[in-house]
Amino acid sequence: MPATVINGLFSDGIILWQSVGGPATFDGFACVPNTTNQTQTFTGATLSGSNPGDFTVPAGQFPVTVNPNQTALIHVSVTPPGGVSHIALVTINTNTVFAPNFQVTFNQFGTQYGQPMPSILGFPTTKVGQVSTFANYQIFNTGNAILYVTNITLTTGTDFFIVGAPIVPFNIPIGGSSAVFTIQFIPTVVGARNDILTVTGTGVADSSGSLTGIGSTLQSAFNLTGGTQGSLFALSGGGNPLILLANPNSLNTEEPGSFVRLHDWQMPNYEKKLMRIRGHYEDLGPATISFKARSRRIGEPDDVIQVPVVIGTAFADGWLREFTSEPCPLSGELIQLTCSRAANSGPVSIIDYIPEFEPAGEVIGGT
Amino acid sequence: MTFQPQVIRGPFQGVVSDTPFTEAPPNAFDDVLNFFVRKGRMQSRPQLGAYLPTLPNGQPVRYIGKFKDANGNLHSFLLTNYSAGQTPAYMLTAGPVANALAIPGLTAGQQGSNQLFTDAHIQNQIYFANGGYPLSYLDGSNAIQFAGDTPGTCNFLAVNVSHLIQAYCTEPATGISGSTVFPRRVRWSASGNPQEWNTATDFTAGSNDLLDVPDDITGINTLGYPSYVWRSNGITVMYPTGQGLSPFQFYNYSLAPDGVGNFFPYSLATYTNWCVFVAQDNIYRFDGSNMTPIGGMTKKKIYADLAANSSDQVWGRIVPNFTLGYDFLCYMLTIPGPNVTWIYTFDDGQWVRFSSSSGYLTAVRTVYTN
Repeated sequence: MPATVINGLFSDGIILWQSVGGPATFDGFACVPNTTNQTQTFTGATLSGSNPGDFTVPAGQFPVTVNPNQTALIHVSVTPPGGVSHIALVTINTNTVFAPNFQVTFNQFGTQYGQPMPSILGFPTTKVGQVSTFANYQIFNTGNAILYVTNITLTTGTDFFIVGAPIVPFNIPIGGSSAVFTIQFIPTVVGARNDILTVTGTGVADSSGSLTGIGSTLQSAFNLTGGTQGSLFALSGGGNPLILLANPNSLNTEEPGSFVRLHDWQMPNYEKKLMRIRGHYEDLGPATISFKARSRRIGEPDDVIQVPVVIGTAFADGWLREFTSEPCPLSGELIQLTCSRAANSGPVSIIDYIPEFEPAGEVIGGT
Repeated sequence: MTFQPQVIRGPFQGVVSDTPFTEAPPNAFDDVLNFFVRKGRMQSRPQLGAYLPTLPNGQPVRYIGKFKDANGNLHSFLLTNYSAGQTPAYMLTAGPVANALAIPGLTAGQQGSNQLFTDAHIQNQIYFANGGYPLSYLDGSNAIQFAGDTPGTCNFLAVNVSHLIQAYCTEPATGISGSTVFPRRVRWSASGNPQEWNTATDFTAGSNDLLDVPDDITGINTLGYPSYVWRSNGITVMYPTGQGLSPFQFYNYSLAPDGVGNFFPYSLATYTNWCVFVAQDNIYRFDGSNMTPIGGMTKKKIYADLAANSSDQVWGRIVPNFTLGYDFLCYMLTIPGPNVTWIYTFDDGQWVRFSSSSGYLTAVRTVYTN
């Protein structure tokens, strides 16, 4: 029966049997993803490494077709023949040059174990020949005795490199870890690249972790370094389209602005005489605002009074300051107040404004 | 003599038009123009300064985007209106400089479009379409590329479970002999391969025409697990099934000829796992389960502007900030004709207006600039 194929990319760098023993046969499954951009047919598997004879990859699961972005579940079994540790490398044969592999490891009871972390280290897609960022790596002693590490090696060492590895030999206490070192990925060819990092110890089983990455041919152009951001506003421009850049540190708007409200100040049917407008603002720097009061009567021109107010200081310290707009005497039952600023007339941040008025008798006649 | 004071204090409200002013709170306004209601204050909006005073081909910018390519390099780009023989895409570099990207050779008669663009990110590439050229993508190189064997192009794009999804399809692409618009078609790529659209080559690709619904597709987005196919007056939900042969199941949320939908196609704006869109009766925020009207007491003026829309498309975008130094999560709804952008701030829940003497907004985005 062909191996099961599932959607999505999943990977296992290693099938690890720990602390098992005796004459029984043990089974495991490895996720083998098709990381290429074409359909692959897995035709079989080749065992290599230190103890290929200890493991079996059942032939009945081949051939199996695996599309891009799919993963095959490959069955491997082991019959422990005794001894401390047994390792083999399973390489999947395909109808192309694509040859994914994974490690199978069997550790006997009582084995002291140095666990590389992360056990599977994946690098982002990297252009061939380009140096990836460093990835941190560490070895943990998960056994029950002091671990004496004698070597840290890579199986192939063509695409992945150990940088700053601890000087061997060294000890790792029970529950302890090695100094952090780094792994770097420099793909030599396009496609999926894999390697195995092996930790060798004296009197202990070897242990390993999987390294994976993908080499690409993309030649980046027009790169932006640093990633400094800006908010761009594209405008139609009336025949001359353009792009403007927002300045988050300046509220000195390049366009005029205003906010406007018609008031009766909850005193319907009464004439009100507006006398002044007080208020508070945040000092963001020198600016000029203008308060316009307007009332309207049938058959007569609008009564309008406009009073400019200079606010802000050169200190621009954000201090709350007060302003007064006066005199602006104007009467009406309804009075429209407009606070405006001209283009480029300074930054404005109003906290409050307080029209002050006095009742001037009932509205006679109305409109 | 002591005068009577009327304290008008923050947190200010924005524009209130749907009730007589005598009923409105004292700190609401009949109009707020180029001021923002922000953090309880009434502030002049951030200054917009010169960046690119002219564009290389003299065409309006229809989209501003950014992405990180497979090599880890950052890019910002512009998409512009169609101009025969000219590329629609430019990469920004410091200066600023808009660098033209090469475009593949065109089939006889092939044309671009002046519609707004939508985009979708997948596999460190950015795919874009506006119903003109075949579905295209940028990968960080110096050229535009067409998306494999795409049968044509589309108006709207989304990504779900490793499939790139086209909606409102034009097949083959505009201007090619036999080109046909399928306003209710949804088409998805092969799983994990946005350049494979042929179901005979990869059975995980496919398409579906929404024949049951009474209206056309006006947008698509993915909110959490499912994708939502927006129609003028309704929604169709597109659930991933996990089955390679039939990766999506479609459920029409509504079939009524009238209802809540994305009435102005490009008003749909998505942010994280929620979105905002403009329906016929209100402006809504939708998070996949709750539909919250946000037009508030400003609908009268906004819809008067929408009714006056002319000459170009209404569009919306959710903007988190005007760079990190100025947090301002807002929905910006631009209406050509009145040449106004209505801005709804989510922190303060108020509407104000933005305008410029340089015309109406055609795109806005916070991107990498160097």
